[in-house]
Amino acid sequence: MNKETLSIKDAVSGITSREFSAEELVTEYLEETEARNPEINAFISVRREKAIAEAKKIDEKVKSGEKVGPLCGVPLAVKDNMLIEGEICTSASELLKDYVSAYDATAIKKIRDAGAIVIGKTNMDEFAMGSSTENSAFGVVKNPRDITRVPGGSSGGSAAAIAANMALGALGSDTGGSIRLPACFCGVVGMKPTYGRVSRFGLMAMASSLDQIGSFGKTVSDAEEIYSAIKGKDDRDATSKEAAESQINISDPGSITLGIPEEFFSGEGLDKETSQAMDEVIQTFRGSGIKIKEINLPHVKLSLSVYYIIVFAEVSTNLARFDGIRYSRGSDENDTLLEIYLKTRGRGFGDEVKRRILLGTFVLSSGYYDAYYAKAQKVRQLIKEDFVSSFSEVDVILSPTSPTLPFKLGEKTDDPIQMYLSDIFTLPVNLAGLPVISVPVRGRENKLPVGFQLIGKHWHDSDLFELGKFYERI
Amino acid sequence: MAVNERAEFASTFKARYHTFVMARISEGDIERLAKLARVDIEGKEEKLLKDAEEILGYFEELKQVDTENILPLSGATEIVNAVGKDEINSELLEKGIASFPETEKGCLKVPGVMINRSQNE
Repeated sequence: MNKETLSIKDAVSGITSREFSAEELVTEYLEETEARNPEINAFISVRREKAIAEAKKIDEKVKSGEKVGPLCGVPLAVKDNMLIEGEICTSASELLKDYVSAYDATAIKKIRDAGAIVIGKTNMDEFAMGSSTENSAFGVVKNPRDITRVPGGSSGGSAAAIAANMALGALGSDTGGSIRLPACFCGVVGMKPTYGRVSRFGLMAMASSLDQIGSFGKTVSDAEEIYSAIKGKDDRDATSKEAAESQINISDPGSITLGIPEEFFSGEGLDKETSQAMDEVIQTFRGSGIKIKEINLPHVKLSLSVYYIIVFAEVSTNLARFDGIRYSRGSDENDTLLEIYLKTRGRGFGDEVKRRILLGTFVLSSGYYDAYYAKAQKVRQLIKEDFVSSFSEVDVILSPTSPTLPFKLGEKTDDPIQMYLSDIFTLPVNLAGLPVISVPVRGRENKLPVGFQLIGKHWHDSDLFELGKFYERI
Repeated sequence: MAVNERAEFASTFKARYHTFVMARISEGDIERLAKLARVDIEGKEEKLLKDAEEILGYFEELKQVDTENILPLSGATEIVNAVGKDEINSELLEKGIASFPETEKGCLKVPGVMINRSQNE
């Protein structure tokens, strides 16, 4: 089989028709992982024995004619901030390097119920805080398309695993672009569902009002297969919800209007090659009969400030649980309680995590709460309203995923604001809780990848898959 | 104690700058925030201060926005009063206890709070 072109549907039909076995497929991906991971560093841990044992069970089921799921035997990579019972889950932090999960995340349970095989846990920015996957206690991840460049972050390992054919698909989490930026930089598809479409139970929380689990694939269709398996209400996540998937009518392109927000295209930060690639994408959609309409989202230019104030605040509260008493102990014998807290967190957390905790503590301090946190929440309302009102005129919004091509390793590590600006196009979408997919611009196989985003109305996740697949075939 | 520390921090910060200035923060402030957040930042104070100044300076752009009569938004999807049954999940409880760093007789074991360790030695 050719891993460059193998789709999830092909893999499942190959296994169920017994053209090849799940064990053969999984072994092939494990071998690729062993060959390429030392260079790329996409995986923190590889589940070789367990994956093969699970694949054998799938093969027995197929042989005996038992009913199998829609991801039967599909080798997937999972970001190392989602829990698998009895296995280490690090969130790429020194503090959790030995932490063993007590239960399965709902998304993990769902992909396994669908028959998927988790071949390993992927590298990431520590606690999902970063845009380049350089903030990991387990070393930086390299972009398989150019190993001198970053894969994007924070789910860089998941995207790189697919780009290097070490997995057929992957799960990631996206708080402000952590699925889409890596998908864009590695030339794969990444999808962040509507906030609440996928349960966050068993996902280590970074910023709870923004975090969302989503899927990666080589193609839109692959990302959709995984999304279909993980979505749905879960009693263990009170923000999850069942909602109808309303759909645009893709067979009548003239009935669809695509919004082009001026603010995403006119900024000085957009590089020339990305801008040209975006023009081609707009022309492709226009040529297919889809209507193009310029729109304005006047408050999105404030997204970076709003996003980071909210993230800092939520990070400082969410990460208070890592106190050196629960989860792990990282202090010395005979330390006082205060020393236990200070040392465990001081030794266990990396620089970016500390930066966010301190600034979160600051923006929530009494006397500053209104000026920062409450102000940011009010502007968040305005940003959401911009999107909602523009959706009365258009069905889907198109924008670049990243303002630049994948940057060099180390290029932005000392300058947090430059790093934060990498997500300038992705983070407004999380503030508004909307579904969004990043799709690679076609015809760039020998160049650095460029990706575009399709942003949908709340709960209209399937519109994005339909439109994404349409782009891939026209 | 933590509440008092926070209130004290806010009042001294305000007294120092009197009017609200978003981007100004001193090395002493960074050290106090680190203590409040219970995280040791030894050796990193200077870099963290520089980053904090730049980031808080960036945030000043929000001052220009009129947010009079705008309601704060804490989550972007309309989910109101999601309630669940108040039930004990004994399976999860057992797994949770088993995964705790230290346990004794089915109980979670934590370091003493009221002990002065230096006197115990």
